[in-house]
Amino acid sequence: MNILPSHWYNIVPDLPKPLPPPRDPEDDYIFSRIELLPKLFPSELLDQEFTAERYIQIPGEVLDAYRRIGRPTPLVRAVNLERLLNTPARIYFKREDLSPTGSHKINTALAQAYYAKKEGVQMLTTETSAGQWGSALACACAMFDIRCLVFMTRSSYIRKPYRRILMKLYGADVVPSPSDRTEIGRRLLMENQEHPGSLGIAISEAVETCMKDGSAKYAVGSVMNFVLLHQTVIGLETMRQLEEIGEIPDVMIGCVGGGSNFSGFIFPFIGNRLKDGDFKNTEFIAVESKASPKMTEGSYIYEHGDTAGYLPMLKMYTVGRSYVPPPIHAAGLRYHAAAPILSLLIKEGLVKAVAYTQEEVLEAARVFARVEGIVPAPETAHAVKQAIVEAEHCRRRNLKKTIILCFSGHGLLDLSVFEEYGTY
Amino acid sequence: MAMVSLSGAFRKRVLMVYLTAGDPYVDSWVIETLSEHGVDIFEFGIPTARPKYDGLTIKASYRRAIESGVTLEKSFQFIEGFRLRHKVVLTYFEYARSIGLERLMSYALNAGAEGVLLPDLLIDYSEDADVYVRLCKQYGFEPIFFITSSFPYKLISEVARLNPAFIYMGLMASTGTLLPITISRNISIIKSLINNTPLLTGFAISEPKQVLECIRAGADGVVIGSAIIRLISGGGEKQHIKEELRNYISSIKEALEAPV
Repeated sequence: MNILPSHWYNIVPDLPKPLPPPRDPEDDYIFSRIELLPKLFPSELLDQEFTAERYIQIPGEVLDAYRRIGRPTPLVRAVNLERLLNTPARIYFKREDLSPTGSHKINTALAQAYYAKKEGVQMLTTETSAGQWGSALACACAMFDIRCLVFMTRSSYIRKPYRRILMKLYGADVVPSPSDRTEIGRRLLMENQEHPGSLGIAISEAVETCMKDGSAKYAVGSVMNFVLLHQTVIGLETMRQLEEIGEIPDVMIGCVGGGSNFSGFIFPFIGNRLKDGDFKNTEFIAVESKASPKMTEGSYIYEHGDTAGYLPMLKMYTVGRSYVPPPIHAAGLRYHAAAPILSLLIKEGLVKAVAYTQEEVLEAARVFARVEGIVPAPETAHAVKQAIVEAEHCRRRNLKKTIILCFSGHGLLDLSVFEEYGTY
Repeated sequence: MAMVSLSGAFRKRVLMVYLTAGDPYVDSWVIETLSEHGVDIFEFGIPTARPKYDGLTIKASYRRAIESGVTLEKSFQFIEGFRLRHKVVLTYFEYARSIGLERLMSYALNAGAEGVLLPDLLIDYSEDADVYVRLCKQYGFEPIFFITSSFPYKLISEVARLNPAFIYMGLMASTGTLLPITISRNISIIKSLINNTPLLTGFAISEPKQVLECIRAGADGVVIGSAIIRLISGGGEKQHIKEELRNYISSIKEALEAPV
């Protein structure tokens, strides 16, 4: 069987309710964020954002790139973890950590770089904090020979040198944000030369760059429909791999920052349930950080995706765009909202959400590393934690459940986190 | 003046024009000119301070109406004042609910409208769709449904089975705001889900070549709003604007009636 799919799966036509459209703030009569979108994103990506089509062909060049970075990724049974937990459950993990930059982010970075290149875009720009997204984009831009400018929050730029170095190694231009490249950056630097920056400021700098430079476009690592679409390659592969070994998932688990790895992992399964009634007993569990509990404690409302409010408002579970999470190291899970499609599925009761603290998940990561030999990223550790909770539940009730988790990334560039928390 | 039912208008391809009731630029001569030159259905928007799916042009039109003192009652008096082939009323369900949907329906009926379009009904208030359909029946209206390319296939087929006068498909994320979306693909997918239910397509349609694209993909007509509002609010002599409107509507009608 060919594990790598030929098409991405768009769940929107199969959702139980219409996906609420992006909106502009009602009281702004001068500036339309929706009007700004074509300046920010390549046309084909915006077309995918609003397509009514259920399956979208993966371009040959992107498929080829997927193969070269190691797709399909393996689905591995965590036999040692099962033994350690003495559980009758079977635990499998989908190894998205095996990409060149160590996370699932490359799945959409390659697609975005491809479409940008095809449309003659000279440079992609983006923001990053810990650098998972920035390094995936830098890698994809290198592969498709297109320039890459990454605004990295100054605090991470200084304190997290390895992904900064990785991005530079790929040829990306990495600047600490706030930077002197943009008006907003210069203004903030004038106030404070040592400004630590924030993701919101970094997004604002990337967006400003696109508004001023017609040959540059903005790349986005999560939340947008098209990002989730590209990530369905994870779930489509997983479905075929499960078919091959004759397993039907009882529980599917993933961590959620904006929601792209988890969505890409589960959408093909939820889609089959909604259209054909398959997987009707499968439980889908989204795991977030207690530091940014949008799914378990947030509201389902229209909110901007970015702190500055340059981007349109989307209907999603959010703790509010100006929410400042306590400093946790699973930086990818600090985002204030869950992607609109995922939010709708939570609202409709198809996806369950749980939240854990940093300490709990790092301990789960340590356990996993000890028995399986792979260090989960602090983000991924949230999914690992929930898998352990499920497996222990199976032990107590003697349930032979099949638990599948999306192993979104490794933690080899985040080792300092484990040291800081003393998780050895 | 309606000689045929609203759905009866679709024996040929249809041009629907959106105008805000009470926008000072929407003078009676504007409506008369548009009607004379073949606009089939007039869609009158009731001014609201919360125009969810509108771009800058229609938002500004709403604001002008509100600032010139147009109230709910006045906007219906305005709509009543014109004898036209077909009139429908557009308002957001959020607003309709706050004033009472039944009250809105009765105002619409008294003003000679043949339908009420609530663009946010199926998106934010799908649980109220039954109430809408029941009230439509009570007031003798054929229902009208607004959908987008991000609607579930099942829901689109379901609303088509409710025998609406037509389905209005919003092609873009907001009115008058053009995005690089392959509208022909989206229209033909939607059309394949609704059998013979008439399909009107709108949002950022301003040029004859877009009209052709819609028709060729299976649309039964188009809706134009922002482009007309820009034309009438752009300044200039009445005679000149009249002339422009005439030429513009002719070019759109020509594209609409082109053989497919």
